[in-house]
Amino acid sequence: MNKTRRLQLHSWAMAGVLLGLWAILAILPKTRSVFLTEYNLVSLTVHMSYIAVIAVGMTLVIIIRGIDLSVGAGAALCGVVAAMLQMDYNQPAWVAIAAAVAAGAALGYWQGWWISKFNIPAFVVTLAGFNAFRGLALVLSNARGMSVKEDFDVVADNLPRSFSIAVIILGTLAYLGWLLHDTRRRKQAGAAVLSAVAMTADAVAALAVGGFMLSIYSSHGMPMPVFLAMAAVGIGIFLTHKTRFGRHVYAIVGNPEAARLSGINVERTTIWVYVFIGILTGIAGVILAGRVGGVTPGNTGNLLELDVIAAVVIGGTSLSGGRGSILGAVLGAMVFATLSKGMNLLEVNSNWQLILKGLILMGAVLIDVLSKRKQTT
Amino acid sequence: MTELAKAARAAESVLRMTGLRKEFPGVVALDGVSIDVRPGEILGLVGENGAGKSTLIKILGGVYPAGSFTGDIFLAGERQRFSGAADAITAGVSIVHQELSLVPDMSVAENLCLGSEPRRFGLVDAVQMVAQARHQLDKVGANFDPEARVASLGISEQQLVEIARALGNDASLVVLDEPTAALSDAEVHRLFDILGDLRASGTSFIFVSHHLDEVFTLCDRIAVLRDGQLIDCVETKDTDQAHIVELMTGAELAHLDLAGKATDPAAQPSPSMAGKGDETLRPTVLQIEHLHLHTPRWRGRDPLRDISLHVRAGEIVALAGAMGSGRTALLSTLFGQGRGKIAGRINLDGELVELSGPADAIASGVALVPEDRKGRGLVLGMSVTHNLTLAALRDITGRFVDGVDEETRASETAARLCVSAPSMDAAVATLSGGNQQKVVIGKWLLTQPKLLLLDEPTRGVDVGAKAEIYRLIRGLVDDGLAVLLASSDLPEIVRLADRVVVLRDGRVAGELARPHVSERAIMQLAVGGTTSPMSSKGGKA
Repeated sequence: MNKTRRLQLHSWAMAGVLLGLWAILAILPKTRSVFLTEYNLVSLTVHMSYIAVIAVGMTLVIIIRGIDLSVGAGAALCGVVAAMLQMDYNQPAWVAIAAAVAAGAALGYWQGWWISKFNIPAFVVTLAGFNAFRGLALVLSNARGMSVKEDFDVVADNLPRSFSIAVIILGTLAYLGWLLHDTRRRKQAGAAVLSAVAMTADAVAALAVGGFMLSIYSSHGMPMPVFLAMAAVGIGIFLTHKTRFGRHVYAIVGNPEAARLSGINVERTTIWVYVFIGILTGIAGVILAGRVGGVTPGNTGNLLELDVIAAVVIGGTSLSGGRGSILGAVLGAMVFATLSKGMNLLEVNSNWQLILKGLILMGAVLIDVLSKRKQTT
Repeated sequence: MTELAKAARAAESVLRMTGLRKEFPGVVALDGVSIDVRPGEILGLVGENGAGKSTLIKILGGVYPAGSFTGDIFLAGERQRFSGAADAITAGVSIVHQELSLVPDMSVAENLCLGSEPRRFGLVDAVQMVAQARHQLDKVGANFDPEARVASLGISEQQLVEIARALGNDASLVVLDEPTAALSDAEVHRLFDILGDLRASGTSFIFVSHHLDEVFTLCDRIAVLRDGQLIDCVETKDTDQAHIVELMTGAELAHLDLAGKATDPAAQPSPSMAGKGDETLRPTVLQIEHLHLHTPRWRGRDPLRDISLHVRAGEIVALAGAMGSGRTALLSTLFGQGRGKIAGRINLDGELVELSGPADAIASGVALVPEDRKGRGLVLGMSVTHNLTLAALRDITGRFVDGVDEETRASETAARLCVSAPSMDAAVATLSGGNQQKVVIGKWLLTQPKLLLLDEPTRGVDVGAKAEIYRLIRGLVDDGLAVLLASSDLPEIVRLADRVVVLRDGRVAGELARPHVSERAIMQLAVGGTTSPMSSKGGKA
């Protein structure tokens, strides 16, 4: 079984775990009346959206055997940049948002540059960022909470109903259409095609996701954070599978020397991976600021990086690099969000929640490691 | 002969090896080799690459444990069964490997005592350690500070530390594997003086080298290995270099050529190559003028010195020469990977080029199949398809990767090169060596190069795949590709090359064109020394 198929299988398993959790929460007496409600599911998806956004970039970073510990602080700093432009310079929301995203890209470039030019371990560079970005956010804001203006709410509000429905239906159809089109072209070219079972499974999954989203978003519209997260996931998957950049990412981690001798610019590819996560960090910072109408530079995004890394790891991405699944990371974020929500509803003591989350993370990775070991021996 | 008599005979020698035979799957690396080494003697061990020298050394050093080979080893008359390297050291055999095995960040004394640190009250006794190291260094005539960091020493000094360490294990026999490869001439002389003194005090050595000059200067006797067999073991004073070269290569080169023709006609140079008029019509693809690569590193000399050569379209030019003669350095430089300062001119298709990296080289139509296939040629975890398209992705699919186009082109290439793989999606690591090499070659064909640089293209490839790769290279050349082939495999060069440029110590030692290409002629140029005409020595074989 090759890596791609393993990861696909892992994602299916994650989806199974997620549905299992939902089924349990739908049955348990304490949660059954609350969990599977539209309100709850919408808040669940919004809650995990900014984690999912960064997780897309973190997956790429971890694939190249890196890590980014600075995303929480980076998100706060980008939020501060947006809030400053709004309040101190009286700029409209779109300028503030663009500046925040650009700031994120700059932070990513900064870190990627040190990592690739001087071979400083990503752990160290981003640990420095973890401190320095938080510090910079506090300095810029004079350590006071900052609010954003009303027009900034677009990033937290719901999209119009009709638009949401159109996006969901068209998105699902586009995926199904691409699936058929690709299969037809492959058949014509005599290339390998997906088995009928796999194709059906993919199609059913797409329809199920589309249907689920219609059921929870059609009455009030899709929340903007969810839309952004979906866009990030789509772009991330496209980048890794359909662009030269994505191929180079796998090549530079698989064998940097062979990649270099094939004419690939290893440094530049590395830098772009960090710029990518920087952009996504900026977007997450904007979402966070929009949701609460402002930034608390000392707290916003605190320890966010650990939630993101947990989601990525539980999603099947190996910390030793070389393989990773964006879809898995999103499902991982979803599983974690579900667990938090479920345990809150079950009124599990919050201290115990931490212990349980830790054990679940260990267990999930252990299963993955054991299944891999079984295969190699 | 009775056991007793055998033992008595063995006692005369420090080391006696009898009937050593070692097989690897499909290959007999050593075939009944018997050698003895006398007390206070330096025995030279020579042979082409693959003759069995390293296998012999590994058996002697316990790397291949008793039981994994047949035959016996006696040290001072006692039969030995080494189960690991530690046993060999305890028994008094020390090996100084070609690659130095010192810990650079530790002091000389710490390195010398590594694993047997003197202790006092259970703690390392630093004073005693330095004293001990001082004593060991004295033995090899080294007068540097035992507390100096190894990394701060020159390479020849490090070599001395290695030898001191080898002697420090109360070695009665020290094996030196290419100890001069990294040394300057002056350093070689110094090393030889020290070895001479140690010999006088009773230590025996086996000296492995490609440099016949050195072997003749230093050794009392010379043992020649070829194809896993001991061809002869002669007193140095009774022989000369030409004779040794003959023994190393075998005299029946004509037979070899014929054999090649009979089994694999396609790998022979096409007849058109012989036509002189035809040849001059072909455009020159690569022209190098006075290329010089200056490295400010530890090496005593620059890796490339004043090299001029050219390669025409539809021609295979081979680079021959001993290890470290500059073959790989030249190919790397042509691929924009030269480490150091480059002087001289490189013309591709008549245009002066400056190659500052592989991307430049690829853009200029150069492709390199590196020597280290797994380390530098392939991304082992990636699929066959993705490896094939790695260098040419831009041309194949533009900005966005189109899976179908990519797979079509990859499949075409794989079919053309007869790559046999479980599937195109299989990780390239699962392929055999020969098929992996075809994938590397295929990767470069997709970039449509004008000049293909091949560095040891058939290393670690089995015989069948070798023939296929030869056929493939020949086919590409007949289609007009220019090939520069670096190889240490002389039969391969003789079989493939239209012309041979022999390098020695970074310089062009000579050039041979068909029909004057022969293993013996190449060896003669590569090892240097006496350049007496071959014909006069012919009768000696």
